Amino acid sequence: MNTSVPALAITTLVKHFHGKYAVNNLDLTIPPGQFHALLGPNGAGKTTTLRIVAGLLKPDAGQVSIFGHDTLTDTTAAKRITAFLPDDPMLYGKLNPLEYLEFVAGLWSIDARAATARSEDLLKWLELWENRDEYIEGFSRGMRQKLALAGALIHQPKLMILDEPLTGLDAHAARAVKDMLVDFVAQGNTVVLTTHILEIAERLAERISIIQKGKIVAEGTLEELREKSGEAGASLEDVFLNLTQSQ
Amino acid sequence: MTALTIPAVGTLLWMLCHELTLAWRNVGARRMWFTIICGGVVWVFVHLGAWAMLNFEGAIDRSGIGARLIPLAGTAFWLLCSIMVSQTMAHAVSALFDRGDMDLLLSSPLSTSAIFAVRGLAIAVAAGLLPTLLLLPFAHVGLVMGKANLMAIYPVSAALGLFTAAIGLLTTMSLVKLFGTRRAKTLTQILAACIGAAFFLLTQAQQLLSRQQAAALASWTKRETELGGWFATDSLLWWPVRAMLGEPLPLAAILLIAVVGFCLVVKLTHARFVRGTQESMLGGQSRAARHADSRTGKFRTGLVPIILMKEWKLLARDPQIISQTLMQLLYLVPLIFVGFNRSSGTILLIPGFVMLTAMLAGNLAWLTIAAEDAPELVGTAPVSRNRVRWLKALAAMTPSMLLVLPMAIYWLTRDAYASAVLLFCATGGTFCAALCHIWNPRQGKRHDMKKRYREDRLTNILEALGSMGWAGVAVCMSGYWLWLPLALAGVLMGPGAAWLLGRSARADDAPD
Repeated sequence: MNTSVPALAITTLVKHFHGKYAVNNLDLTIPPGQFHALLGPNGAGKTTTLRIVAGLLKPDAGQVSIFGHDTLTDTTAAKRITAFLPDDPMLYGKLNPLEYLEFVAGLWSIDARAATARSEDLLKWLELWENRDEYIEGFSRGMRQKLALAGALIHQPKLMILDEPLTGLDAHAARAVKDMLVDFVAQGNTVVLTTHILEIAERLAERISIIQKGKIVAEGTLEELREKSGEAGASLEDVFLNLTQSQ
Repeated sequence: MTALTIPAVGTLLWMLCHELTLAWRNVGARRMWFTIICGGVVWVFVHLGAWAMLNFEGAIDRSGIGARLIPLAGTAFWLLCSIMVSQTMAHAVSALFDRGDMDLLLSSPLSTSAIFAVRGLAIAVAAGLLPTLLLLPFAHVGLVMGKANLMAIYPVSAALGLFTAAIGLLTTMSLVKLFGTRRAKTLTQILAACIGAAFFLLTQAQQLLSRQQAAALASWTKRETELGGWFATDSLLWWPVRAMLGEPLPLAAILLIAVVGFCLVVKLTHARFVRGTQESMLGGQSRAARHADSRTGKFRTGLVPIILMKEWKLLARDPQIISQTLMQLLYLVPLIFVGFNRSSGTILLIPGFVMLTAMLAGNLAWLTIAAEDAPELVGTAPVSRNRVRWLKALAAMTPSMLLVLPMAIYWLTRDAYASAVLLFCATGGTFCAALCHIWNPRQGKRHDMKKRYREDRLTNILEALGSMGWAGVAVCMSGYWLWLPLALAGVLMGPGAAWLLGRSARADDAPD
């Protein structure tokens, strides 16, 4: 893997809605193989940033590149290696999990034979194989989240972007998702996630960015953030509150 | 003062007020004065219509309306009744499956039968309101004309609401008992659509029958209108009309049947209603049933078959969509029969086909393009959004074209020109309807299909313009070429305006 090319490079990104800045000259570079958490208070610009990276929103200015592929000029190549999981993934209620994965695999032009085998592996691993013939509309929140994850993984992305992936999950489902993300990064892939559960970021993320009013106000390992906030040995919660209140 | 206007909490009346408040907020509270003023103006016109009808020569005699009009009024009554039953079934499905407040209500100290009764009464009021507003002007005009007996329309209207609510609830609950909650939802919606269209089909019966069968039907009807027959003026079938005229025995019978029927339905089915709502809410956990079409074989390859199959599956598996599209298809049935009977296209037949198929394609295109369930998934996929939209449009157009194809093939050997005109204009109409959604993409929700006409009027008008344009082209191709520029204007204006209006929506698309 060419580690000199960042997994995600965001340069002076700007996006405003109705004259109000949601993202304001945001810069962020994440190398391959990193588990990166993006934290910030409500309305800080986390989701807008992630949606621009995923290709769902057009930026007003700035540049985003994924493994060297510019998301505006080399969109297809960038999308091919990226997976985006929104906070409330919308699935097709009247499809069953296999049909859903077949559709996702088709969108990413995955070879049918490979997709079939991979779907079976993913559904078994996420404990959804027994439910493979049921309509998704009957699934619990945790089952839906796990299926959305399976959909995100079927094309074997190199960068996974997750917006609040653990909201509303029970302990078992949350553990399954966390284990999956750790495995994914261990294989050399990159994860960028937002979460309000600071304990998740503290335990899983190698580096953390804190975003406020559309800008990165601090970035580093937990230790570096502690130093920056001047609170040695403090929890991430204290560091986060200190850094966001001092702005 | 408050005690006079607000019923004591926890009573049936209090619950009914709560239900009606919710119903009012769904219908007209957002634009209260607009609704009241428009409704008031329409009601004045209905009164004028009632005045004109009652003043029609021979329409009124000493007792009320003339005896010869009783079968006509009775037929209208049963038509109204069938529409109301269809409405109450739709409301019962909504009360059972779509309302999210049953946990709260059932965990309260109120009895389940009281909750069910109130919901039934609310259904009766909701379904009966519009027909009642159509009937009451006859009572008011009758009173002015000195026919106070017509005031019996008031209690009969209330009885009609109760009776149809009872039928609707009983049918829905019976289906729940027989087929389970999930299938009952589909079946009820389809049945409601069929009942709603049944009277239209009956009025078109002559088109569905051969000449001999139609003659036999006419002779049987004539026989039955004689004294003692099914449709004679003294028939029990017309008792509701007699009740509206204030005849004591029919009035007492109608009220008794409605009240006792409603109470019996509440008593017999409230337990099933509670079980049904619980099954509906716990559907996710209890739904372990497998589906017959489950497939564990190899996936399909290629974007085109995958998108087409996904869209067709989603359309075919949604009962709400099935029932709503079925309504449109039912209106096609008489046209199809006329088509097969006449062996060639006519000036009205082809445009009719074109309009209906285009309307169907427009609805399906809205479902496939605007009501995409997972826009973020499609948006993040490495495929052109525009290509996906065109494929979705193809998925929407195909069922419409499949409906036209048998007729076009049938005509091919008898009237090749009509066949070509039908194929050309139907393809144009369906394509035009789909184009409006491709060029002016608006996000919607699948289950808001009913509201789409209200909430996105402009797209609907554009769709209709295109469809009417193509229907017009079909008329012109039957020999009226002079009107072709007008028809072409409609053809071009619909999608053209959609293209102009959708520029910003298309520009907002992130890069493909």
